[in-house]
Amino acid sequence: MSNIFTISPAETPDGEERLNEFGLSTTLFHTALTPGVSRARGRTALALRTTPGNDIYHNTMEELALMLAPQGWQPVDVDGQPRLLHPDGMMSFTLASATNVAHPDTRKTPRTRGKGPATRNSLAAHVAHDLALFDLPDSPKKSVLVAAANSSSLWMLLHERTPTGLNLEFAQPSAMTPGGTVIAWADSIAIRPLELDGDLSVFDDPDGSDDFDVPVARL
Amino acid sequence: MFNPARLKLARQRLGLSLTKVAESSGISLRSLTNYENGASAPIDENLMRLAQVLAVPRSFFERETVETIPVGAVSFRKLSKTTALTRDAVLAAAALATEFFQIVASKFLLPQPDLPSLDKLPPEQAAELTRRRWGLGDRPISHMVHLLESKGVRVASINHVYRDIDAFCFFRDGTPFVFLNTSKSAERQRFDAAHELGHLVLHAELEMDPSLSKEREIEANRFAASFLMPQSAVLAQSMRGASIDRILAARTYWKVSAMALTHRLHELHLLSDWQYRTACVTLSDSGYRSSEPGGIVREPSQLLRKVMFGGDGKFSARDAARELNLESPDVAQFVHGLVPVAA
Repeated sequence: MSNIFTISPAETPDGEERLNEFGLSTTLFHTALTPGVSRARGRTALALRTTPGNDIYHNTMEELALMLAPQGWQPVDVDGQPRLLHPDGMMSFTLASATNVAHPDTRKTPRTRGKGPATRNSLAAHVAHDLALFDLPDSPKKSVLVAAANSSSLWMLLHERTPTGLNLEFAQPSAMTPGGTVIAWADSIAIRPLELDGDLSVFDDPDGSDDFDVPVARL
Repeated sequence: MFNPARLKLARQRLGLSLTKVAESSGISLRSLTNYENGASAPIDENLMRLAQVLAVPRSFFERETVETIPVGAVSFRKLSKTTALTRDAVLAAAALATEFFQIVASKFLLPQPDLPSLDKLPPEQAAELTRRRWGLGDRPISHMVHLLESKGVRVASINHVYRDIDAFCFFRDGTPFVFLNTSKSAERQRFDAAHELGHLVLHAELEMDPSLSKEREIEANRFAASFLMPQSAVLAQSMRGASIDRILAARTYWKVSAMALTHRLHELHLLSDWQYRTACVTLSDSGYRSSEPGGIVREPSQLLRKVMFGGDGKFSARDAARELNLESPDVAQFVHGLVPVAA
């Protein structure tokens, strides 16, 4: 299985520039992820096991859609997989949890949870896209957006929870197991981890003091 | 005219037994017993000796009886660890403090009591409802003493000699009283104030059955934790598995001790048992069990400041002492740590 891709290390100008070429940035990702991660980190041990992950997924997809909409990004549902489609259709991306994200041992590449037909079709479409000479003339008609999403390269904003935040990577899947786990990546941009433990702004002085008046008057 | 109840009050407030007073004054135990139960009155010479031993002017014994505070009316923390003499001493001092506040109330218009009585609710719900009723939202309580005073609670100080007693409270003629040990850290004092508020809100209608003391204390602690660190706000602060740095930042925000905050996080299932134990050990090693490094300053009283130092006809400790037939240092003890007065 081919596993040849470029890794742009975290916080290198190269990595950030590459994100910027898509109209994305580390700050944008961090800003979009923070509310969901904060919510997830506020979940008690009594929450369902899947709840913190859902917090991150649902909150962040909405935040990203809100933040990118003014630039012309479109939310698209491709076979049940929500994605955000670049204004020029050059790529689309979705959010995915994975293991080995930004692993210091570069031999260990991220592994997503099982993905469905949207990702599988996308990988196939991606190959087809690369091999444009073999495009079929009567490919099935879909909505313009979904078609655009399908023909664009699929990227994933990969995240892995840590005790204090998230490890992050922005990567383009290239192969998956029969069970749907993406295990190979055509390209990857490492993103600075989101560290929330050090962010103590939530404990800033709550608008100064609101002292209580004790009215006392001489009789 | 000699009032036997005043002799007993003067003796009890110093935590002295009859035997001890007999030894110190040279008056027989039998005579002292007769004086206290009203069987006989002391002659002038003995009255002078008693005044000297009990550190009060003779006129103190001639004042009207102050209604004593029955143990059953008081929520005492660590009741089982408190000796009868100590308990009687703080209650006698508290009775005198109520007399002090009575005089203050006769000269000043003070806030009227506005405490909910929520004895049917679990402590957490009672705390939330009290916050809601007082319009506190889920923000940190900026000042517990001022809050209590603004709701008609009279706050006074426990003599610092009695370090074993953290705080206690009771109602007297419908007025709630809270006594705090102001020698403790500010964070501890705030928790004590919230704990006593819990008793006033949850247990005002109950007789203080000693056999249920432990349960009441647990309930008041649960109330205090919920009142000072409301669940909804703590859950919104990303505290799952919080680091020590984060715990310390949060305790400063909520103005509670690091240990109290850690306990709250464990209670809210934000720290596992192992994380809780580890955090407690780390904090303890850094001195947070016995004190509060980098903590906040103690909360003074706004009511007493306005009464004793206000420009509008102030009522000084000396004035109060004169009216109560006490010495100024006695009055200073009621307000120690709450307003700056010379001891």
